[in-house]
Amino acid sequence: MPSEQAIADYLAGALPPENLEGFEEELLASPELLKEFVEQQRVDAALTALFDPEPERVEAAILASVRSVSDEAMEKRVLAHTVRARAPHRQILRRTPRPITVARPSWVPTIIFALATILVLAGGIWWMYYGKSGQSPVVAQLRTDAGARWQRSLRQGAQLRAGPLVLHAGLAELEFRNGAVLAVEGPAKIELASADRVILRSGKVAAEVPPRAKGFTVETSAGNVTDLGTRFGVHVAGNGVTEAHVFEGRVNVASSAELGSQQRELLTAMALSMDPKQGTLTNIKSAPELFPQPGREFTGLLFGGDFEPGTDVSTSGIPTMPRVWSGDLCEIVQEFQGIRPHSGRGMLRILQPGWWTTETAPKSRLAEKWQLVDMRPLKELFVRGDTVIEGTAQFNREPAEPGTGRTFVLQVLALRGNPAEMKTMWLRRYELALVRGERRVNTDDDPATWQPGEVKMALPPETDFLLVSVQASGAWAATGEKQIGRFVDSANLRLRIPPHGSAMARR
Amino acid sequence: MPQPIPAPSDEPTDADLLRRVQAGQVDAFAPLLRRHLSSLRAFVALKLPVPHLADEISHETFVVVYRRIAEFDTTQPFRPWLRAIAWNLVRKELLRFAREQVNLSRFKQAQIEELAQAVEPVPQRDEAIYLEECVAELPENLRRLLEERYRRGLSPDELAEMFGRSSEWVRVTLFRLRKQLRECIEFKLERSAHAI
Repeated sequence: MPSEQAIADYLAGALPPENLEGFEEELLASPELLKEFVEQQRVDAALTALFDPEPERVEAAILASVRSVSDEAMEKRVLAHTVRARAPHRQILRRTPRPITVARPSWVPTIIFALATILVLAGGIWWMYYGKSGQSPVVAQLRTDAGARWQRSLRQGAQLRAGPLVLHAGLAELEFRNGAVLAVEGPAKIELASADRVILRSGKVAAEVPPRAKGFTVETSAGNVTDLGTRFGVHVAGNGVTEAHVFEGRVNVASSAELGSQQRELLTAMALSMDPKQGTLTNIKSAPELFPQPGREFTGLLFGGDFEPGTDVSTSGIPTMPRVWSGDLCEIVQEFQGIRPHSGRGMLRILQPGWWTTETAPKSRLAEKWQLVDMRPLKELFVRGDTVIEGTAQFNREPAEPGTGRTFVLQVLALRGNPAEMKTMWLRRYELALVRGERRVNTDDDPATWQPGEVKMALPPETDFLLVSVQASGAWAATGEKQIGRFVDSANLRLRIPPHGSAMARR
Repeated sequence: MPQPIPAPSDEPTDADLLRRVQAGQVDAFAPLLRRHLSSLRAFVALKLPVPHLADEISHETFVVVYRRIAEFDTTQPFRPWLRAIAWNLVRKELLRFAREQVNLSRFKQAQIEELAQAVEPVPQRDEAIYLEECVAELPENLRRLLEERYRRGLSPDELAEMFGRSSEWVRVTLFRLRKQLRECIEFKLERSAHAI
């Protein structure tokens, strides 16, 4: 049975490549043999599935997706409830029974991006038109409107012109055109004077000022607080007493004429109380908890996620050290078969499952690269439980025959313990994960386009470290044989701390 | 090899677990998944013998099951519903293959045509149940050969050394075993059809 022998050899991976063409021709010439071949393939694939030595791997991936769907549904319910109740943002998060793992359908970011683009363009045209028509200029945008109750109707994203604003209750975040962000907690009365100046009549505000917006000033009747590179808060109480607190950096306080037109420079953790009635300036204890805080974002948690030339991806096996990519065989390439990096000059090419060379096609379908991110030094940023970790990456692959595999996965697990002991936790990592986020991405056949993957989840305060992985699944060839190119680029991890109200407002 | 589908009497039934999932207990999905995943993967692989696609379709099937869990009537058996969802996804994938035929070699086209011949509107045959039975009925040494080949992934040369035979014997025996399993499945399917 020469052809049956060839089928047997083919399925055992023992058919010499030079015989492949002849083998295919022989099968094409004989419908019976082709049928036999396909039947053999069917049983072969079913036995592979039935005898899978690691079924829990597939099981864990499915459960992660199901949990994502479940949390997505929960998030929708929570948001629906929020819209009805107009509850402050912090309460929404507190009501959420467990951390949110959001893996949105891939079209959502596209639509959001498209809408955002339309809004930005529309905003620009609007600004060009009305900005010249004698109306007061747009100086800021309402960035977050977490259950805020304004005197006049305002929606998130609204362009704010110079003029007064009254916030009855709730929390709002204003982003000024120069980049400064101001959190306002109701009840508060403010007046937007310009892109770098706000007048606080009463209530509490806190500012986060990037270097480019240095000089941003909060004016009060007791004096002006001017940023010198910092985060600070200002409170004007009902009796006119005004406090300036520095959370980080430096501010200059210039008191009013009634208070002697004094200049004071305050540094981190310093605070000053100004009482116009008593005519006194008093140093007091800084209390950041008494102020609302603008949202903050930290990037660059992932090391070498841009996969630029020189990034070391040669470490194999289970990761045990933070800031090192470890795992299956990969390399950094600059351009491959017409595929260019998504950004910069390099990208990660995933070569095959396993970290050893193989003479036959690898049995495993999944190749991964992992990185541990030690979160212990950043604990104070997510103790409140509402901090969101957001992972993003871009995926692409060389065009190939259908069925070769087009799926990539971006996955983030939050774990407790010492990252150096990852080996002992490895097999139970899915079980031990406090929360996990996963995004499956199907790439297209166009080498010019990259497909994005995004994972977003609330970071539990108990988290000690993260395990981030980029994965490619499909059929793989043996080492040295033609392997289709599968690529990852622009992997990033961001920590987003939402704006929140003062401790008093939270009570 | 993952064993028996029916739940032992002290374990919750599929219907119990499905009701719990319908009530919002997502944790009840894990035992349901564990109970059905292996045979579903085999079912899909028998229809579309591309291992990683079998995994992707099985994955997608359970996600669809979860999304549509509220629609499921718990007085009905779960397995046929699961199969029907998987089958729809398999058909979709085969259609996609067919659409993209321009990219395929003549040989691949012929393979797809052969696979597509079995496409029926609803999955009439649940061969995966019988595959497990047929494997269990094999003589001990042959079952071991399958285990070593498929679970441990040993090559024909390694198996030849282990069994004290030639590499050619291993390849031909595996071929015959797969053929035998196919015939065993067909026999059981026919018998069950007559029993109805």
